[in-house]
Amino acid sequence: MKTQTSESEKSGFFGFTAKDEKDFQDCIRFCANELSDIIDVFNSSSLSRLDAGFEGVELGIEKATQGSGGNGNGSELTVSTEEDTFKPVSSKYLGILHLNNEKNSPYVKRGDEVKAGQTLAVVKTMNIMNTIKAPCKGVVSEILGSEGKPVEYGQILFLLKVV
Amino acid sequence: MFKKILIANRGEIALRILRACKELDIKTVAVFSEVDRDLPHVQMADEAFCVGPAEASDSYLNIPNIIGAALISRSDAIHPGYGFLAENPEFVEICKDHNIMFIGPNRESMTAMGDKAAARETASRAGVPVLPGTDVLDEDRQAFAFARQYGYPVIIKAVAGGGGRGMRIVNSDEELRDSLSEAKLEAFKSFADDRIYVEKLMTEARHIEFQILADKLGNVIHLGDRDCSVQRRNQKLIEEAPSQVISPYIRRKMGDAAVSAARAIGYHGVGTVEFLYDVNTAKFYFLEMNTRIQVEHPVTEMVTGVDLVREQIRMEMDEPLDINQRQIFIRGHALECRINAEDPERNFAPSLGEIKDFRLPGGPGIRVDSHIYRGYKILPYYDSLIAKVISHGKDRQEALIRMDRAMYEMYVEGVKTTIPFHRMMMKDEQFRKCEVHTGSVEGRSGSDEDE
Repeated sequence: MKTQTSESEKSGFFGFTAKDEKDFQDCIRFCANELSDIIDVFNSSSLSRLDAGFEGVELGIEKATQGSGGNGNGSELTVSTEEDTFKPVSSKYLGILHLNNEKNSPYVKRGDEVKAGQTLAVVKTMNIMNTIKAPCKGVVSEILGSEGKPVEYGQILFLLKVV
Repeated sequence: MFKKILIANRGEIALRILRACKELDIKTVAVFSEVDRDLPHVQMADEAFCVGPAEASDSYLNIPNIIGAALISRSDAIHPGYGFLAENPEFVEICKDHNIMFIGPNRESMTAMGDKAAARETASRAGVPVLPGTDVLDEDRQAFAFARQYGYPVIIKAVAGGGGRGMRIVNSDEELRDSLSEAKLEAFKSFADDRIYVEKLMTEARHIEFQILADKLGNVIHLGDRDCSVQRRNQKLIEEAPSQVISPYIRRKMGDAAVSAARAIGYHGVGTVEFLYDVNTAKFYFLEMNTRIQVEHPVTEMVTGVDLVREQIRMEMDEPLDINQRQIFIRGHALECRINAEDPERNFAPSLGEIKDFRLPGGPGIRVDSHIYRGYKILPYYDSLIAKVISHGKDRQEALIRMDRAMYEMYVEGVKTTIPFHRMMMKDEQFRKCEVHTGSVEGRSGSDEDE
């Protein structure tokens, strides 16, 4: 438990310091929501790039240039703390989230190192299996969705620690 | 019985559908794009799902995500509103495959009216007069022969067009030669279907349409007419009911023709049969049938007292019509002005931007259907309609006075709107005397600088 606490203190966003595992999860969720608000505002603005810093946290968003695809939101988003850079992975699909494969074992676990393009989860819509892939190489820092639960477009499912 | 309906649309029509559902005690599910989170119907719906980014093709036309939302929310039916997926036969089929009711006609009647050439034929077979025209063109020769027989101007139409899209007016042989190939190319680009045909153009026609209501048992009635002659580039700006230019006898004949057209395709739900009417000869011609609820449906609601969206949902739930043709009375007169974020001084160009402040009109005989709020942004992804103002009075004179007052009360800050145009129209002699035909407005408010 002690190690958990120190780890979460280290990874706190926006100056949050989490008390325990549960609190850390809540912080992440809160930040994910705040982030999607920031992305919304950014996307509907005429800005092409936004850099902001708050209490030791740096935020950089850049609009994907046309044709380059991007990962769902049309913007490239990263969040950095003093030590680490995190990349949220959101769903482009609306459907039921599957974190486990057909053999009922998870595609990825917290702490797993993943390659760019590796399958993180599947969102099933109208019986079509849509894979959610890692946008870059990284370590799975947080899994924010739950197995078998509905997810909507733009919902953040994973946080990857960029390595 | 439907317990829950998913509304696959945005803006004022999504709110209109939500209101009907509320009154029918049916739960609602909103689907929205990333930029539409703050729309009133999204806030008021029992459930809401983000289905994609602002671009309509990725959100409001994103069939997998919309069907996904319907399945997850266990919705019984999907109401498509107008535009987007409202006239897409493939979507109707997909809904059926997933055991979701599509609130609208079946695939067969939608296809029968969606193909403009087939629609002409269906109407003609049902005894409804159609404008002189060619079959789908195999060779350009047919178009020239037709023009020689009936004289210019003629109009080239795309089989897959409709609602004012995919049309070209031609005045001479030389123009026809160039236009045919251009029209084919354009039709292919817009609708992935390059079939075209040629019709005689009526230059000073009135656009008169009949509202149809039909149940699944084969009962079909009409709810009178609407006159939509104030148009710009085939986009309607002002609609009214009842038309002042048709006699009771012609109205009865047109109404019967509209009912026969609907019967001929086994139609159910709400629909509109559009006609062109020639004031000089008192002849009318079938134009097209719209197989959906229309933007201008409120004018009919005001003069008949029938809630069309409510009836549309009831008909889909296999309920029978509880009124017959004789029970339909037209009370007074209604007008609708479409308030678009467009600049009448700059050729009605869309005026993008943010609504900083606004005041909606009210008071006796005024109804406003609008989804705007302070901070609402007019974005290039969607149409520029921001409000529909409907006035109702005991006669046309009273409806005009009320609309004139409403246009005086209403203001919108931050974007240009069509309000000044409507203010001008309410005072326009020609309009007040009902002498406006479909070509009249083109030359007004700087709108003559067309390409």
